[in-house]
Order: sequence, then structure tokens, then C-alpha cells
Amino acid sequence: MADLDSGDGSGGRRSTGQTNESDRFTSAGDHSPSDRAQLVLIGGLILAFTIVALTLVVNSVLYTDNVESRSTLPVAENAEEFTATVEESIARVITEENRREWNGLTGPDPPETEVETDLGVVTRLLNTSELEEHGAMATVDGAQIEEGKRVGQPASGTLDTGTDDWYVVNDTDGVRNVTFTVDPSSLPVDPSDKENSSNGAFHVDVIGPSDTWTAFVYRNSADYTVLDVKGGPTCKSPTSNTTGTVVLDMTEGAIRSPNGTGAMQTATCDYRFAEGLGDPYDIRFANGDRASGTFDMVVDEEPATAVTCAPASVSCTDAVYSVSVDVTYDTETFSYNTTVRVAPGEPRTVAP
Amino acid sequence: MTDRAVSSQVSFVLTIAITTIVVAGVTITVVGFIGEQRQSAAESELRVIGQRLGAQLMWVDRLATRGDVSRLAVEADVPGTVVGYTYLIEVSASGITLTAEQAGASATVSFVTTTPINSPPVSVSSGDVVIVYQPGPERITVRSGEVN
Repeated sequence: MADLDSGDGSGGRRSTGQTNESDRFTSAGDHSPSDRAQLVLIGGLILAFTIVALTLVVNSVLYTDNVESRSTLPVAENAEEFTATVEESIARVITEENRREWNGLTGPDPPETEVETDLGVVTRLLNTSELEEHGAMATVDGAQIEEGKRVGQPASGTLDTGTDDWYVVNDTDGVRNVTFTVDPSSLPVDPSDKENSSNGAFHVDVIGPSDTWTAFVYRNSADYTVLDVKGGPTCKSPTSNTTGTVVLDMTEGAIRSPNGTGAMQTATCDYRFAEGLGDPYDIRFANGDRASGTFDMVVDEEPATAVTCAPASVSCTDAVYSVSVDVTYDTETFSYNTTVRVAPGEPRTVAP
Repeated sequence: MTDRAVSSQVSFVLTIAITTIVVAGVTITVVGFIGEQRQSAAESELRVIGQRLGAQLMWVDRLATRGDVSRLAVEADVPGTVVGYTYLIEVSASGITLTAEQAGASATVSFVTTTPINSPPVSVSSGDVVIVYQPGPERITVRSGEVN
């Protein structure tokens, strides 16, 4: 190769004494000096293009690796997180206001007004924090509050009202947080005929337009509290108790009971409250004298006459059943608007 | 005297011939190698883009189930070219097909959404790619353009 570009531009020149190297080549090929070293030039160019192409490929591979390890859609994650935070915050506001109303801690305003005021503060804080944190225009507005009633028996006693079978709620569109705190010693042990009015078990009947969902509460021979869903699973408390209290969260499907040290343990039960009933529905307590304890639930006040507050042992307070809000989340590359409905503890199957 | 300096001429011709063969050989090999590498790099990049787009579609699908969504659009995070070539994205219920015709590469990635997908082919060269959710009847569309 070195021979090829050894020309010095003196083609055709002949010296008088001796023939030098360059003269020989020039005379042999008889090329003009500008034709020389073309192969080297072509080779060099090809090499240059090869390197460029290789760089492109390597760069692309590196980029692919980089892209692979990136978060998929951070803005969607932020939006979902924001929506979840909104839901959680509103749920807390509702729960807290209902609790305060129940305990007579609130002022003269009805709970829906109090919730509205609280929501104003919470949403303003959320909007500002999202703008600061992620540069997103996130807003929460248009709160629609569904009023309800919190119904319960605050003082422990048998779950009847003089009559063993009674309707707690009539023709409601929704109920949530149906919770019982029962004294296990008051429950019958393994009743053979659970529906029998004299020696059966306490049961909750949810009576829909065409069907009825029933859950029995009793104690088994090993002193576990049993939640027995008719046509569904039979679940027992995590511990065996004859003293203390056992909490049955019927809408969530959970049984909580204290262990030896008094710490509450939870067992979950895999069923859906009032599955497939449709609305409106009634809630009836049957064999109320066969269980002793307290109960608590929040009822959608639709229609307004849904709740029976008459028996002296039963308390009713105004409550907020649910809140719907418009959530908007906008950035340069993302646009999202949704209406979320928050009703903490509402079973999915009977949502209006 | 006429035979003098013949060997140097022969050697010159030989040198040129050998150099030509070597350069041509190297060129052919390298071009072939680069071409292959380029195609496989394009294919793996298309696959990654497809997987990411699938994940983004699933994100949109997930967000669409939260509450009563009236508006949802997001700019998909996809590069404009693969190994210097533009490519075509085709999204259907059966999967995402990405084709970079010039690079001779294509990839198919499957994904699952609960919302039906209804989307014509999108050429990425035309600009940004946007994933849009439309309520009633609900569907997810992939199109080129801006979010807002």
C-alpha cells in the first residue's frame, strides 16, 4: 500500500543521471498524479462509514437498554396517586365528621355542611401540593354529597327491640359499614335449626326485590364465633372466646377477636355482602334476642324514610353517606378528568 | 536490456490486485455484518418500544376504570426513530405491531386491556403519539398529534 501513495507529483519528469522510485511507477502505469492512492481513499471512506454505522447501532442498543429501565408512564402514576390520595382524604373527612356527629361533638351545622367546609380545605391543600411537587394542574371540585343516616345500638344489649324480628332499614339504595360487636357468651352453641325463633341463631336478612341474603351468627362447640352466610361460606373468628367482644364487619367480610393478650386478630371471610340482590332492599334483624352486643351502620337516605329510628335502644344521627367529586389532572403531556365516588366501607355489589 | 525492471511492474500489479481483493472483501463482510447488527438492533428496539407502549396502554386502561372518566389522553413515550429509521405502529386488540420497513425489522407485542382497542395504524414519523380513552362507547385509540 505504501507504494501507492509514494508519488510526489513529479510524474513524467526524467532526471539525467538515474531513475528514481517515483519515476519508475509513473512510467509503468502512466497515470497522472491525481489518480494515485484511490484504493486507499476508498478503503478509508468505507472504514469511516462503517464506524459511523457501528456507532449508530451501538448507540441504539444503549438507548434501548436505557429506555427499558425507565419508568413506563410517570405522569399516569402521579395522576393515579393523586386520585387515590383524594379518595383517601375524602374518606377520612366523611368518617371523621360522621364520628363527631355520632358522638355529639359537632356544632349546629348538619354534617354535609361540615364535610363541605372540610373538603374545601383538603382540596386546596392537595391542588397546591401537586402543583409544587409534579408541576401538574390538579384540581378537585364539584363535590356532591349524598346524605345518609348512621344507625346503631350504642349500648350493649340484645339486638331486639321488644320484638325478635325487626326491620332496621326499609327500601334503601345503599348501606355501608354494617358492623356488630357481639358478646360471644350470649351466642347459642351450634343451633340445629338456625332459623328457629326460639332456639335458632341471630341472623341478618337483606331483603331485595326478588331475593334474600342471610348471614347467621352463632358459636361453635370449640367456642369460635361463627359467621355463616346462607348459600355461602361459613367463617369462624381467629381465636376461641367466651369472654370479651368479637367484631363482625359484615360488609367487609371480616371477623376480629382478641387473643390471649387482648390484641385483636382478624380473619377474613370470602363473600360479598348481599350479593346480586339489587336495590332497593330492606335490612331485617331476626332472632335479635339470641345475640347481645352493639351494631352500627351508615344508610343511604334515599328515600328519606329508609331508616327506622323508633326503638329507644336504637340511635340515629345525620351522616354523610357518600361524596362524589370531579378530579382533573393536567400536564403538558397528560389530560385526565374523572368523577370519583367515595363511600368508605361500601360493599361493591349493592352500590347504587 | 528490455527485460529490466519487469519484476517491479509485476509486483505493482500484484499489489494493486491484492489490495483490491482485500478492500472488497473487508467491505462486503463489514457491510453485511453492520446490516445484520442494524436489523437486530432495530428489532430489539421495536420490541422494547412495543412493550412500553403496551404498558402505557394498560396504564390508560387502569386509569379509565377509576371512577367515571370523561377525559383521558396521554402522550406516549416513544422515540421518533429506530436506528435512524422511521417506523409504523399498528395497535389492535390482538397486539401491537411495529414495522421499520427500511431497516427490514418488525416486532409484535401482545397486551391485555379490559377496554376495547379501536385504532388505525399510526406512523410515528408524523409526530407525537397520543393514547386517548373515549367514554361511551368506551374505547382506547392510538393516534398521532397533541394531547391538548
